[in-house]
Amino acid sequence: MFAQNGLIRKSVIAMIFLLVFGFSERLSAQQQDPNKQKGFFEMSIEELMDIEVYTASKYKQNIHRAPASVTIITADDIRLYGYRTIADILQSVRGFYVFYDRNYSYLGARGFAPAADYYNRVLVLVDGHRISENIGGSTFFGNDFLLDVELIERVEIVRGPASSLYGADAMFGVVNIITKNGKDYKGTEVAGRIASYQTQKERLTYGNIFDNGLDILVSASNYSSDGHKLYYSEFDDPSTNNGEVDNDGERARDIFAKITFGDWSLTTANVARKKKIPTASFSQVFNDDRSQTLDKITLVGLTYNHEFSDKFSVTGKVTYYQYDYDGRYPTDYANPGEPPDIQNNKDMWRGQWWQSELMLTAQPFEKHKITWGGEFHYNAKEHQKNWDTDVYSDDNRHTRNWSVYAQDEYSIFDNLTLNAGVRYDEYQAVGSTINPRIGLIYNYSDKTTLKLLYGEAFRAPTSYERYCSYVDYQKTNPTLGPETIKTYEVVLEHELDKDTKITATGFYYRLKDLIAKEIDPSDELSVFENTDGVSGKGAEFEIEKKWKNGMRGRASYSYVQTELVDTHEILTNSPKHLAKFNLIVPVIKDKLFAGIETQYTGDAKIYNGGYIGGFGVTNLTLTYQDLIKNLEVAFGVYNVFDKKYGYSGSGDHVQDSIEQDGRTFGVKLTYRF
Amino acid sequence: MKIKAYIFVVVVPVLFIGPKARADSAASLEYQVKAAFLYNFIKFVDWPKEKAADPNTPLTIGIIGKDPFESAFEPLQEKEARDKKVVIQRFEGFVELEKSGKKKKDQPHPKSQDIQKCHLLFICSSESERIADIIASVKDHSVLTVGDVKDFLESGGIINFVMEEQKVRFEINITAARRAKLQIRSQLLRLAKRVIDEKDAEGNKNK
Repeated sequence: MFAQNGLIRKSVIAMIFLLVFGFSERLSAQQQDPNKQKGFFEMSIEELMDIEVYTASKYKQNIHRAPASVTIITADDIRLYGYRTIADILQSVRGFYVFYDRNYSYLGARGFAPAADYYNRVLVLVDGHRISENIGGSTFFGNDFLLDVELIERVEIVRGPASSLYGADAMFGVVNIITKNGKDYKGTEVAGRIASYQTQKERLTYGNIFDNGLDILVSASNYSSDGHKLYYSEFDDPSTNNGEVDNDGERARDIFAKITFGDWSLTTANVARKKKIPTASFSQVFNDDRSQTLDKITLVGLTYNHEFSDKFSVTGKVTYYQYDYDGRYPTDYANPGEPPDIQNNKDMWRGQWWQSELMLTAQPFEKHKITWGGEFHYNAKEHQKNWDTDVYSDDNRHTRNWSVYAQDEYSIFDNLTLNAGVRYDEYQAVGSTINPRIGLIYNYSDKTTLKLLYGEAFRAPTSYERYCSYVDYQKTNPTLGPETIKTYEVVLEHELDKDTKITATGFYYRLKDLIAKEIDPSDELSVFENTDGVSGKGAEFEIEKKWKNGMRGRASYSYVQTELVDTHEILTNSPKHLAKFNLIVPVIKDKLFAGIETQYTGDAKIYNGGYIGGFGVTNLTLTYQDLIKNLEVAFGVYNVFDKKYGYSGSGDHVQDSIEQDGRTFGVKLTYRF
Repeated sequence: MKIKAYIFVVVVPVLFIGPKARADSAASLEYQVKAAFLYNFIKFVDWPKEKAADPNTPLTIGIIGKDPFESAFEPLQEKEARDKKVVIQRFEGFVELEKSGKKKKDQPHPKSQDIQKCHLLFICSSESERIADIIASVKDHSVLTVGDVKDFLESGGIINFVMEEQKVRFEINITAARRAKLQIRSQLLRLAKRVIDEKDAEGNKNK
């Protein structure tokens, strides 16, 4: 905190400047012609097509008919709330919560995020392509995410089981991240951000659409941060530097390119991210600056979509994904009492997969819209290796899986739709699974919709869970079967008036064969097993509102009660209460915006059986558009009230709770030309 | 430091949420934008010489039915398109006439000659049951029919507004345009979300 004084002073001055400038703008605006705003009749058609209008009961035809509760976060939300990562975005969404262990960010949904190794029970897609790596099945939500969040057009969060359409991992929902196009830029954009702890980010983007319709977008970003000097009481001993560690630095760079032409779209993204680990996780030596992880991810996704007519369309996708992970874990192998024997343990994963999908949609009868298709997935490489002086594990294999699915959207009446789907997945050496989903959507009026849903979903055991072994520590379990979940949901969506929408949901789920790491009493080794499982039940309530002056916001509360089926104990890292509040205020119309958000996370049980207290975090971002022509300035304060809080550690941490950031500041400039 | 930060960060911006600027015009943002679209459509459509030759005859935008535009067209009083003034004419819809008891069953719509004189006719959603009738009544008079309801193009309308993620888009029925002897310029066709050509019974979507 002390090292920040200079930055705090500069930031406060910047903020005062912004507010004073804003005030004087406002005063002068009042003296001018109230129509000085560029009128709609002065705009070109392209500009008119860019304006977001809020339409009442046509809120979004798709949302109303979707057999799920959907939330959409737009590029404007991302900009005005100052979201830095996907984790920031998802943390604001009803029912979701993210946490960070100073190495990776993880996502919890519907109270489910137990302290296990990797979390992939929410399927994340970029432009429709799956982006989880094929060894641990994890998705990256921090600066290790495939692309800069400023390139995102919108994020669609579809809750509930969706394996009937998407296959594995869509247990609690699907998050589809849709990227911008060149036509959203029509030129070059450069952005620079500086923030607390010597954090800086630069981005250069070029996008354009040409007369023949060819649309190109390319972008590169670079990020670096010194991180925090941290203190962990668990290591407060002269032999471990009195608990002090200065190893929290991070660097990341990502490159993105997207080409769209006619029915074709090619999305390519590449990220390389290095993070130093300060927590001495996995029994590492404390305060050794060699402790780090390096993740490199490449995605190449090609999509073909052709509408033959109103009633028949085809989508084809081919995806290539490569994951290279290198971890360094300085570990002391000496027995107690012996002199230290420190080796820099090397952990490596090399993953590569291909996927192709064909999906057809047809409306052979007036009342039936049928979607069907198939997917083929080939894991070209699943290589895990761990070594230092000895090789502790080395496993390399390739596997494949394929699936077929079908869904019928049956319009029984104009206001009653039945959505029924089923998917069959076959995994080489694991077996097969069938997952149905059925939803009844009743549009009681054009303001009220009631949805009743039942769905099954699954998660296939990953290569890591089945084949990873460490000598004397962990063994393999090739017989692991998939986890399955059954969910029952009720969703009520109602528009109180043109500008106000409320959503209420209730759900119950039963997750069976939960894959968890246990210790086999016969040989004391860790092994992944299909355990008894978990159940959860809860309710969520949300209100979204827009005002005529452009102010808009939403507030939500979610309650969920989870328990382990055999012991009736509540799950770890499963807060019962979550509340979120978001508000965008146009302080000066079309010029100065304030984005305010507060997220409250209730008590949660932590790994050692204790509890972490509830906490609320507030973030505020002020954005000044067109400060001078084409220049935008944004000033953000995160954790405004400097709340001290932490997230649960896991079995891999000595710490029970990993403390998160206090108040931090950031200033970003964006310039278009 | 904590309290000072609180003041700067929360209280001061709140102070700026002062008295609201004067209320926006009564029409919703959606219809203000659509009004501007109608003005733009006039710029990219060519009417046959008989209808558009006289430089002193203004271009008429007719609105039939329950008018959602309210005062959205006010700025047009000062503007011109294709070197002509643009005027708005409102017609009561069948629904309104029935309510007021004026319409008799099976009577052709009154003022149909006036509707035929319009260059662009916007058919409000209140008339969605009567689209075919209205389009039939302006047949052969080179009227650019515009609507914003489902299946407007399939009923013979020329341009239909559609919403896509809270943004206004439009689709065009090129065959209906040809029937009305209207030339739609390529700049407008290019921006359409969908252009249907009844002859080929195929649609192609521009993303």
